[in-house]
Amino acid sequence: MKLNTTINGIKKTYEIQPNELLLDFLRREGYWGVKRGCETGDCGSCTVLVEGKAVASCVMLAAQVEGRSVVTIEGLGTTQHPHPLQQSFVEAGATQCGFCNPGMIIAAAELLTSNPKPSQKEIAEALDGNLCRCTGYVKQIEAVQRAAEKISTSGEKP
Amino acid sequence: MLKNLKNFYYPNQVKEVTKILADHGGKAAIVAGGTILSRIDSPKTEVAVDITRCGLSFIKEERDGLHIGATTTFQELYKSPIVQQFAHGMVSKASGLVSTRLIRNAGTVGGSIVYSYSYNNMPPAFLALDAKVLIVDKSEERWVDFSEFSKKHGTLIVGETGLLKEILVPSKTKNWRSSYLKFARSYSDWEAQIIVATALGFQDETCENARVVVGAIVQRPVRVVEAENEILGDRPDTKSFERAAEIVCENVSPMVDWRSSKDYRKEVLKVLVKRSLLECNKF
Repeated sequence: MKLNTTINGIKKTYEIQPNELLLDFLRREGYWGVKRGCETGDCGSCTVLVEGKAVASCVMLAAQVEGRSVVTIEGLGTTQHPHPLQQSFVEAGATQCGFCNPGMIIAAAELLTSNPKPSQKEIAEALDGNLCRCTGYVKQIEAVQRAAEKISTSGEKP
Repeated sequence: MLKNLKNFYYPNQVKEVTKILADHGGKAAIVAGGTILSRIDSPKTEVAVDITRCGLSFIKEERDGLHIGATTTFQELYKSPIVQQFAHGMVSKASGLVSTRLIRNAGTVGGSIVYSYSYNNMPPAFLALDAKVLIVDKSEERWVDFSEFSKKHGTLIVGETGLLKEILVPSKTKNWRSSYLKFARSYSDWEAQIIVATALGFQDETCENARVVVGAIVQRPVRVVEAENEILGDRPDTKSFERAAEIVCENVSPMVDWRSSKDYRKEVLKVLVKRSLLECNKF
């Protein structure tokens, strides 16, 4: 079947299987920043934004994003122009193996659009679906706070 | 999963949904959040009907109570000021304890009621608040008391060609004091081991309405009326709550699995029921 969707701002028509998971579809189309972790909706490494909401793409069918917008980590920023969250994750040392980072950053991006000055507790709650086996989450929370400050200082859109 | 799925429909109105369901009988599956359908093995499903474009995401307080559309997400319920105020926020609390933010952003209240796994958060809350659900089947609508969901699985109540449209929490419960407790390995655990939902309606110092609901530890959420009777009347106190908790344990036979034993669950259940009732009484 045909799927009409906008991924990272680019509107296109794709050919998909009706039972294909959003995760599988995105990775097949080259969005490898969307990671395959648990495939049960528990770890958050597959997090993407659908219509601005952070969701686990492994428990969503690709067909559900018909006519909708999807943002993956690739769409947030680039190596040359990283998003403040991506930059902050680097600066805060919030990366060990890095596998959880794309999902965490996407979830944090949703948080900052509705809550530009989140507390630690609010960050922890917003990221409660993103597991990290390497760190103790301290640096990720710090990174989000850093990014929030950068965004509010620069006036940039989160 | 869904290996025989051939087609996806995107209707814009409820009447289109009911036509598709009627045309395809038991071979059509409804999709809202997709968090359940994407994971189940359903060989008979040949078509999927995405109902998220049919105007069923709403939260409205009207004279008869709180109306919640079936495709309202858990996160929307959790954060809604209207829902936070109603019945001291029982429905908001229950929604906020569903799994994680990622699941709450996608999963819907309707899905939680229809695909009624024993550990689902929402049914005990709605049972404790005497809720009703509106089901449309072909062109006929009917209201169903939530007590029916204590007797049968949600899919059997809605039927193969039915659609759950909305939930009504009656206005009489608006000022009820409530408590909702979920016992699981962690906050983000999909599968609660025990859910206790209690609500007390007072007229001055007299408790005129009491609801003691237990979920997850049993196949379907149940009201323990014998425990409720213990609380009704003048100034229920800690002793009556303790007795109510004992009565719950006498009347409920816990489901048991590898996660914890029957004795452990009963012990925790007794503590949670008392704690929940004390929390209700705090207001």
